[in-house]
Amino acid sequence: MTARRSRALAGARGVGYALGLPVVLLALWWVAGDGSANIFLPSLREILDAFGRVWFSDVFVHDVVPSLWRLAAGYGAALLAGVAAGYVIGRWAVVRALASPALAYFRVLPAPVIIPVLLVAVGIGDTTKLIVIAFGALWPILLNTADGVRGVDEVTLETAAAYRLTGWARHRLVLRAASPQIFAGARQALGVAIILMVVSEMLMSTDGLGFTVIQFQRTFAFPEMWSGVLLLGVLGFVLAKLFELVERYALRWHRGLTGRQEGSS
Amino acid sequence: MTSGSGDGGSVLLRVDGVGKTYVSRERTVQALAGIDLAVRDGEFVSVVGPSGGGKTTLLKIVAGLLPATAGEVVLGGRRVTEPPAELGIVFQEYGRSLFAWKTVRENVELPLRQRRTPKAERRALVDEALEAVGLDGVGTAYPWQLSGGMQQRVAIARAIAYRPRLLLMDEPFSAVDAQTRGDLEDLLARLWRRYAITVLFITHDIDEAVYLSERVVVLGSAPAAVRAEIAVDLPAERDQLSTRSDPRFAELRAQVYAQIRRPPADAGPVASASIRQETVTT
Amino acid sequence: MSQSSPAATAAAAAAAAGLAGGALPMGHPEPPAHPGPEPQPQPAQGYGRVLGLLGLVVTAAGYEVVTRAFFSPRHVPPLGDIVPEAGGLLTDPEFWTATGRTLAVSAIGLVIAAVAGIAIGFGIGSVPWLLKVTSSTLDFLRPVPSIVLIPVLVLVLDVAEITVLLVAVSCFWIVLFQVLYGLRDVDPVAVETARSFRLGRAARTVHVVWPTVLPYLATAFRLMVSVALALALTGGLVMGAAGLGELIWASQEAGEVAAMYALVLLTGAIGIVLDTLARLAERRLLHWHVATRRELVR
Repeated sequence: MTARRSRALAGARGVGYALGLPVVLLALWWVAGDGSANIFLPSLREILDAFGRVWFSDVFVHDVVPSLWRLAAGYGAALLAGVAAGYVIGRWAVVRALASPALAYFRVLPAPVIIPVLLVAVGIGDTTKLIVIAFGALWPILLNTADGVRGVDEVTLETAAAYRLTGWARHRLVLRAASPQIFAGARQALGVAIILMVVSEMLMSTDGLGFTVIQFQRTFAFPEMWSGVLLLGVLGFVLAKLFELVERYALRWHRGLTGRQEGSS
Repeated sequence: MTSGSGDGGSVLLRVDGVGKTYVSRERTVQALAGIDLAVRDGEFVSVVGPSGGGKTTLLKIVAGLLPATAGEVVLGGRRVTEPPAELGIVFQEYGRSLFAWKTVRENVELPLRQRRTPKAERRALVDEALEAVGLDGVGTAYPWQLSGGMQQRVAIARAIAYRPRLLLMDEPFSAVDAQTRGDLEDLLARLWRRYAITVLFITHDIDEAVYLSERVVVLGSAPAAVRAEIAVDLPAERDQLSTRSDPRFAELRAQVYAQIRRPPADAGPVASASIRQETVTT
Repeated sequence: MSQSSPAATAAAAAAAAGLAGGALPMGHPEPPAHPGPEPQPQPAQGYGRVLGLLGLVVTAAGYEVVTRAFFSPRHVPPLGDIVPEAGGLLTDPEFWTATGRTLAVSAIGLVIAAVAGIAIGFGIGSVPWLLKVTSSTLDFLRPVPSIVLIPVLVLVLDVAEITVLLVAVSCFWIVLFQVLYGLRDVDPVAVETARSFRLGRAARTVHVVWPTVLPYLATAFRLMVSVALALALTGGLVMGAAGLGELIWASQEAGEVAAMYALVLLTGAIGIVLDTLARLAERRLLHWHVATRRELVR
């Protein structure tokens, strides 16, 4: 048997492992749910029907797009602010010491409680939801960036200094060296951002995914509601996967580095 | 004296009474006590001393990475207060000194890019440096894909491409195996001759110091001060086998060793001064 | 090694900050190398502590100035209003009842998650083919935010039960994946050694596998404490499940702005207390672990 053939076989087996259980589960749901008289738990066929009907219509423009826009804007703002502030805090011990009590507080403050606070402070509206998402996503990014920047290897810094890397080159170098941790924080923050998007829409909105799903539930449109739950699930999954792709690309050097060390130790 | 660059060269680096005292709340530690040292243009000087004896502190002060608490360092007529432009550096910890997210080529290129060397010239310098260390062809690899010895070659190439007047090396070969170490030593000796660079080489390995240098400076420890300077009058062309079996090599090694082992009590200034007089003529 | 371990602990720290279920997806290449306690946000001493105090004073003063200058107390009340309210709450039995409920819900959900996560994690993780078969499904389900279950569960359960379930589901993923990482980290050499001394499967589990997984579980515990609190509060905010979240939402709706801010302030304080306790517990549990020892020596 050639190496290529055995690799193809291994690949096929991998696909089989990856798809096997999901296919079985979906098939079970399909078959078992088909005759279901339970209105709370519609059959998979009905849910998929509803999925096409609901989400591939102008609901997409009215609800999905605003949700995604708020998510992107809030998360993007958190990314910028978090990396910038984290860099300053990580780099200068005095700033770190000054900020540490406030940081300690926001590190443990559960993100959803800021929703009522901002509701009162800023009012209901797009901006509020955007700030909620940005605020919640900020802390994991900021804290990880600060940690990463602070932990940049001393020899790396000395090498940079000896070769007179100054100004932007130096900042870029430090951020790059800290990037594994920045990514770890950003990955965390993405999960937080999605949750806050949904919760903020459930609590104070007239549009958006979270709002629509709650609306369906209140109007007893159960297949539609389920399709919304499904869409949220898929969204969370797809965004996580996208993030992973970006991270894998940006940190390919780091993967090789740690992989090698793992192998050799 | 021994090398082609000759002993009549002007002084490139002068270390004048450099001292370093670390003060913390609990205690005060004197790491360096009044180090005097002069390195001529094109010279290869090694600094040996016991581990943890302040050698690295000295190197960092020379590199402008650490301020001295006494004395001064003058490189090419200018007092060093920050890393000088004409300086290349190779650390022991190649894994941490090379930027893991950059390829071999990008690592070598980065200091040149920072110096705004034009692109064509930059490419030529990088190519030449990689060729000089025997790494042409691996430019697109990442450092961590290479063996330790090859990684240290990358660090050397980076320093060479920068065309420094002074090359500082901090125990560069301590982290590689013996075989590779010999190869790297010979590589360094060739590069030194080819580019006529001045090298200040820090090591705790007496053999290595004698084998490579024209002059060995012995530091004592706690606080480190210059105990002796020993001129290495071996033939300029050196070879791992014949040089190391040369009786003169053994003598020199014993001499350096004796200076390191000498108890600090009788490290009188007179003794060290008399040895230094025969070697330093600045 | 030096590269990957701070990253891993930082991921852990970040997970504590958020409430996401996803710490490290299955497909992620680096499992935490040292799951032990992360370095504390630095034990400030002397000079640092003074600066910290100064920072706190500056922050508070800045907040006071900004709120008094730019905001009406109906939107953002000054600390002068909030702090007395908070003081009042501390003697208010209603506040303590709500806190107790929130903590109880968190604790119940956490225990359920821990039991289920450990059982299923060991079940899946010690059978290679089972791990292969399930990994894609786990990988898919994990990033699904648990709160999407709210509209579904509202139909069949009461709000308190849903809140417990939300906590349990989110925490479950943390435990499950930490156990799987831990099992993957079991040193084959240690297993071989144990086998060569004729230790049976049960003995190997007790002496080799469990000690390896334990630090991962300790980390999971610390992460879960924050996540559990966050979801217990979410349940109160979104569904009105009795507890702190509901109290906060109610005071917002009633327009008792200062009281609401005071509640949020105290919620953060509870978060700090729980986090500190979780870290202490982790330290106690892992007193033998390398990462802890190193920290103590330093």
